[in-house]
Amino acid sequence: MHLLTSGMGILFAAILVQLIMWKTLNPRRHTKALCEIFAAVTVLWLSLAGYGCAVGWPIGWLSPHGLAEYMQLMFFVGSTSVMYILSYSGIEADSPSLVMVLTIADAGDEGLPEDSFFEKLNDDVLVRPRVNDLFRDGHIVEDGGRLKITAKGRGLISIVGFYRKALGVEMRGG
Amino acid sequence: MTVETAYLLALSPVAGTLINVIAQVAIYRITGFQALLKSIVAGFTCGALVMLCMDISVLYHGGRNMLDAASLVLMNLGTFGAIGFCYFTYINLGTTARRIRMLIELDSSPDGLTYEELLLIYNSKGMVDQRLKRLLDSNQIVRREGRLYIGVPFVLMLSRFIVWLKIIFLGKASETDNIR
Repeated sequence: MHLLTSGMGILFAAILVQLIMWKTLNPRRHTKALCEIFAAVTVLWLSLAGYGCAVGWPIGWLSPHGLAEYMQLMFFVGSTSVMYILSYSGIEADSPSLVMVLTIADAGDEGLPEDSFFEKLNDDVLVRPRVNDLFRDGHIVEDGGRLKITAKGRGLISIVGFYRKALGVEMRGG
Repeated sequence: MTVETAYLLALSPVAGTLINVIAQVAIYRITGFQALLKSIVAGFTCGALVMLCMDISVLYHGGRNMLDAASLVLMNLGTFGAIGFCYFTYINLGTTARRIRMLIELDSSPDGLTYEELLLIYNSKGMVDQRLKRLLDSNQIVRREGRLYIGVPFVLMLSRFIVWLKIIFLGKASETDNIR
């Protein structure tokens, strides 16, 4: 029971730290900040629990015993942290489907004319923010008015390309 | 519990994940590249069964009390589910993620593209058309006399939940804040 409690405790503590940081410091690069928060909270939690175990504090109950338990806890914290960070990008960026459904819902019982639908969901809403993200994360650069992919950007698509090759899917047009 | 069985318990979500990936790719190829979603569900089920069998077998012979054993299985299920979610996201990355699709277009243009050229290939019109079709096909929205209405409100409820999370975490309902 101590491992599950410890794992859940780390996750809740990290989310709490995130909420406080977002309200006070508001970091520019959210994904990087989230990785740092989860890593720092995990190290701090395990250090405190380990020390507590050594000196006989009640918090020492949360400390894993032996390498196998550390592994099990780290798999749990690592995978759920990555899942949280991946899901967070869904909160951060507006999904086109989300924007579409909410725009229709806003029209109420009158319904939304299809033409005005396309006016509201334009390139500035759906494409420009993602291009800005690519600039911010260093995946593309602007060179003489042209957008060019960087080595970091190529690295990102090669990760996807590997799996698409395994599945036997063409790289373009997916 | 012996040291060996403790390691088996720790590694069972990893074994389950390996089975998940191998089964998913195999099923997708065997079915002739037709049923991606079904192959994902089938792969996940195979992996979960392998992991649960390993866990139950280890804990049955381990002499742990019921609560402790249940918490360890729950923990491994959480780990396996989280890795499964990451894998699902990874699969989606190459097909629907806007950033990846733009990068693929830029990678195939050695001299790069202007923003306007990128919009010719990848723009909001195409994106909206594709998603509109998907939402209409699944009855999430319905079309009557040239106007669009909410149908089955599942995606709407999900969208409102995400907006609620956005307000909590980001303090605003939208990244552009001109939609809502």
